[in-house]
Amino acid sequence: MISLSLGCQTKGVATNRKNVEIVSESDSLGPALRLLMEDYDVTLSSAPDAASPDVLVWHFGGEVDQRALAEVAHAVPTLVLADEEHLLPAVDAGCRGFLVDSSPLHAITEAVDTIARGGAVVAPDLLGTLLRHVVHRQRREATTFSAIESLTGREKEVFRIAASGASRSRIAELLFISPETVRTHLQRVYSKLGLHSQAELMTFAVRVGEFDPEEWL
Amino acid sequence: MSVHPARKGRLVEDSGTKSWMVYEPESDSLHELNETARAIWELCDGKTDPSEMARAVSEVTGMNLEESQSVVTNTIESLAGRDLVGYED
Repeated sequence: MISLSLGCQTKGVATNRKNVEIVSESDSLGPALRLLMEDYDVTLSSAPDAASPDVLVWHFGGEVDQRALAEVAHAVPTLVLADEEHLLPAVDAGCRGFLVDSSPLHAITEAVDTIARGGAVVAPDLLGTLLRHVVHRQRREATTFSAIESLTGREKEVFRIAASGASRSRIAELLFISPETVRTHLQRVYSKLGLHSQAELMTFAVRVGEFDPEEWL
Repeated sequence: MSVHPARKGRLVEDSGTKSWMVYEPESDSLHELNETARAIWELCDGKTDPSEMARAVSEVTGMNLEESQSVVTNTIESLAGRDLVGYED
């Protein structure tokens, strides 16, 4: 991963955007990001800036870590640059901006401005695809929401702790049960909610408001 | 009347302007739609109700739900006025 921090030492319009951070998972940055580097005197660093930026620009180079993306998107307004296929997980994760990675520089900078002001940005020709994806996902979730009510008390506890990213042994420790019992509970939770992994469970829990990081960590 | 609007016509690309239009064969007419109208027209599959569309618009665009409901309702009415959307029983 390459992390680019846009500092305040800029040549032009970026002077009012000093808290923008760009993270690229691609080995080859897109032309617009390269322009940002050249025009805005971007400094390369080995990891994202520890300070929370006003806007995060995340450039996907391939598969997305859904859990990491959901956590980041809920903490920082995030603009995603990716191909159409990889933008869909970004919608589910709660990102605020969606542009294809071939977007021109002005589209990216305008999107950053809009998102920094609290707005959202969708490339016009992506709108239909994203809306269809969300409609289908919301239908699946409507079924899943009612399934949460079918969880037993213990399964709900396991669900909420697992949503924090805790390992099976940590869940067992917190609930004073064996890891094998945790595994059984988790399998039932996945089955009832139509989920397939803890990563999916975590993303789902964040979206439905069933994850309170202060509760278990 | 069903609450599930169903689109009519088919999408065609204007090779000159590279923009997308909807061709409605019954009236033999072409309609240019903006991106929002086109996206909502595409959601009119006879199975999706306007409230589902509004929730999706709200989530993707960041509009509040009331505003997105208004956008969806007005767009569908406009599409229906051009006979690009009907209502299946």
